[in-house]
Amino acid sequence: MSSHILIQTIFVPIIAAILILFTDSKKGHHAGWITIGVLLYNSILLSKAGLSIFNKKPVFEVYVLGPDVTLNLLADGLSLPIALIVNIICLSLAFYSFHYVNYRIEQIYPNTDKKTYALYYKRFFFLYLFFPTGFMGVVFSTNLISMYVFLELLTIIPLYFIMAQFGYSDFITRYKVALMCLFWGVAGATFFLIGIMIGFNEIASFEIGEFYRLSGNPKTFWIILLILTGLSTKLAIVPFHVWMPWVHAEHPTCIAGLLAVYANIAVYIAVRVLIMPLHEDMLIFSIPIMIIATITMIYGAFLTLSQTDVKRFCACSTISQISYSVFGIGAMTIMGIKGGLFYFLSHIIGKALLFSTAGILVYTTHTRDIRKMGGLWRKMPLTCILWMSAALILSALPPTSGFVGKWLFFTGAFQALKSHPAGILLVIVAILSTLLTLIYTFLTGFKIFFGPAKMHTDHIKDPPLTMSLPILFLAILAIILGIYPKPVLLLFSFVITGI
Amino acid sequence: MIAVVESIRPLAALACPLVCGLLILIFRNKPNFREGCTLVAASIQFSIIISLAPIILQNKLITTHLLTITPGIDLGFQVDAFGLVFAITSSFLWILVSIYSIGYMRALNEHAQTRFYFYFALAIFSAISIAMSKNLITFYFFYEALTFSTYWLVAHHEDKEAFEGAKKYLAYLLISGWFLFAAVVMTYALTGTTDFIKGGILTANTASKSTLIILFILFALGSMKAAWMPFHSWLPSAMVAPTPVSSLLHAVAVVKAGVFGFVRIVCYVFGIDLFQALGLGLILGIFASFTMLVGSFFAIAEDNLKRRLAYSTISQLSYILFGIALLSPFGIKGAMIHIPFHAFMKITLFLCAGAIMVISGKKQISQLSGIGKKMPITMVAFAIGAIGMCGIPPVAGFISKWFLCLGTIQAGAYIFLCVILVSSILDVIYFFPIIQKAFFKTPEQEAFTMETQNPLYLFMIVPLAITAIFSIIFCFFPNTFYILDLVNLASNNLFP
Repeated sequence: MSSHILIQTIFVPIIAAILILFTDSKKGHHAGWITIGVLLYNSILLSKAGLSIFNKKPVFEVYVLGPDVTLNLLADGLSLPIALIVNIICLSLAFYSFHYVNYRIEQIYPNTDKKTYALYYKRFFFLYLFFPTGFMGVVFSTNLISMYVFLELLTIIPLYFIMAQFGYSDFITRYKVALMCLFWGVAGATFFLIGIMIGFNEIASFEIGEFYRLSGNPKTFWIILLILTGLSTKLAIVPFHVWMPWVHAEHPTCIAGLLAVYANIAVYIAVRVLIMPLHEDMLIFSIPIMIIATITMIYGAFLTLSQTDVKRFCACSTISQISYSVFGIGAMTIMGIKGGLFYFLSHIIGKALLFSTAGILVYTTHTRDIRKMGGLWRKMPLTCILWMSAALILSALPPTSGFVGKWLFFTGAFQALKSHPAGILLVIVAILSTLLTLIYTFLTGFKIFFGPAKMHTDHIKDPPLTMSLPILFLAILAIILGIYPKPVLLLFSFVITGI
Repeated sequence: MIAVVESIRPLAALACPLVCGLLILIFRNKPNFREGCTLVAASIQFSIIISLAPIILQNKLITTHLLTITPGIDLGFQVDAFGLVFAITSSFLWILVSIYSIGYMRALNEHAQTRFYFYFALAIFSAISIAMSKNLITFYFFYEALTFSTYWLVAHHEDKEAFEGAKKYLAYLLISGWFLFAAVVMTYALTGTTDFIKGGILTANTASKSTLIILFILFALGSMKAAWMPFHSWLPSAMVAPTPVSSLLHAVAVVKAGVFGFVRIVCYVFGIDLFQALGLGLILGIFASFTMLVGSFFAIAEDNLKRRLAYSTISQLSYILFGIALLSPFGIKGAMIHIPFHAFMKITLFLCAGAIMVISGKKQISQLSGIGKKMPITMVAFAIGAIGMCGIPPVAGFISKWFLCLGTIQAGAYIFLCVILVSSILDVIYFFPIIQKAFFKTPEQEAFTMETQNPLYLFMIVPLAITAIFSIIFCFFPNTFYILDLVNLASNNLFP
């Protein structure tokens, strides 16, 4: 069946982006609505693909680009839920950006005339639309080269340019951080590229579906190692985490949530490219991955505890949170992989929520210093609820989606390691380190929203509803997934079988 | 053969405190209505729960399935004989504590009373849910819910001391909750189920011996609510809470949930045979004996009345752990029956301590000389509770101690018999001076006010008199509220 659904999800945003660039420059606000329209359209397409997958008919579209390089797209039980949820997050954050970008432009480029203002406004949404394109491309590609291209696209266009133009610090620092992000991104992708090139040498194919033929090959170990190294720079695993706090702190908050997706999507790539086809060869990496993930969890959590900048706080939390998923897939049991991926979904929802709430705080209080905030509960009750629900999701308490993910991947980890007492201790340490998330999210929440007020709070109030409602929707989504995760897990189980 | 009955009555019982909590929030500006809701809900809940007892006594189980989130996270309720004992105790005492709270909170003119009643209802809801949990995961959910819902009760005064105490409380119980989570996940990974089944879901073939021992350590650390030493210090710190809360913590919900969980884990997750085969009974017995004795020593040294009672609780809870550790029919029976009996006696003591504080303003034991003449009912009730704690007839404590002693003999562990007797003597040492001081010493400084002078005295004196009377009734008729029958049924099912 070929109805060109998936190719549309990738190219319609690009077409819309170009359209935005050429619209009448006086009406910058149209840009936002076009973005929303495109993302809604994408959601409908993805839902349609989803229905077909529920009937056990994966959507597969063939587009040959040249010898060995194709743009074949596959939506199956593994890629579709991820694409759909990423798309929903993009949609909510686009809504959220309406006001936020406004505020950013006023902050960075004060006293601009209307035309320049509209120009910047359009430019933001032009760049923003490359996020859905990149994510859909990475998720649906079955060809490693096109996957690599989409990864690079994500790093270069939205990440680099948005940061460079709408970032926080002064002009020079902004570009420096953007460049750093670019270097790390390109370096990681290059490792990935080298890995797949060596793989190509062995099996003469870039298709993920052919990758199983590498199994048992003596070079496979090195291929896996290279790809894993590439992915762990994206995943900000210790010691490749250096870029994360800088980049996240620098980004305009409205897209910082998407950065968490950008970093965390490498978990999906690891499952798709390495664990599913090369399960036997991956087993040797299982315990090292879990150990490094545990170290990153603990390190990231302590790093977060020591932050005083509300945006860096969220960024450091991402380091620790991503490792939960990595820990889960590192177990390489069915439950572990499903749990790791489910936690990935839960984390990106929670992190988008947390970042956006941090953004609201910056938007209303004009400071990023947690130490200067306090007692905001009376002024901003809705924001407080948003923060607390983000804290609930991230610290994986029932009834949110986080708990389901945590339950699944820790079960998987125990199943993998139940025969060694040392392995059991490793899992126990990992479980206990999740307590740190609860401590830092709630403790910081209490510092910000309760206690004595430390600043002049007369002018502070809840942000406009267009900012808070879309992300409130994310919180509800996380709770729905926490109570009724069956559809997503069912879709996962179509693909993740027979390990 | 045990028949299983599907029924929504457990859900109806659980709905009472939830609906009540909602009504409390709605009527926050009408105190009389608000407290009325609590009383009505408590009474309805108790009558529903007690009506389940005849069904259970026909050797049936009542189950309600709620929802399955994903394999393993399977929420459901199941009422069995042992759970019902805990549920009856909690729901009956909720009525009395509610009446008492009206007097206590109004007499002291406490702030944030709506919040107080709301979280109180939530705590009761969690406790009853724990009693009726069908499996470990449901148990875990409500165990955590109990921790969170009691936080604001402990921190009620909102001063520095209260926040310090509450912080300690939360820190211990959260860490403990995470250990419990680890244990639950591990149990599920090993067995593929978390249901409570008599005889246990783990067997010697499930995993290696060291794995099972690690699992037990996780469960034990997850049961810090049982306040076993050396993880007990949150309990005395939590005494900063208002007295009705202390009694809730000590007699009704929190620590009882801890020991209840322990019994569940030993008898229904590990199973008595496996527990014996692993040799864990002895280790648990040693820890319990240590806590019994050392807790009593701490109590002797304490001058603050509520804190002394807290250490007494620590020591008494270990009687329950001790009873399980014996792994003999009488030991288990003693442990199970000590849960309700200790609850009634300890709540009497706490309510007395609160009444003394409200009416005469005294918190230290050294200030209580001669108080018995002015507050005769309170101090007689206190004496009954104290005598019961020492296990002297004619108070309920005697029955449970009798069972425990029989249990030690049945298990052939005579050294443990000595422990229990020494511990009783220690109980006498820290309780009797209070009684003696209250009745036979002349007051040193100013005279105390009569207990009847307080305008709200009836709200306080009546509940504590009722619990004291029940403590005596339980000695002569241990089958009041079907408790002895239920305990017998539970232990007969465990030892076929």
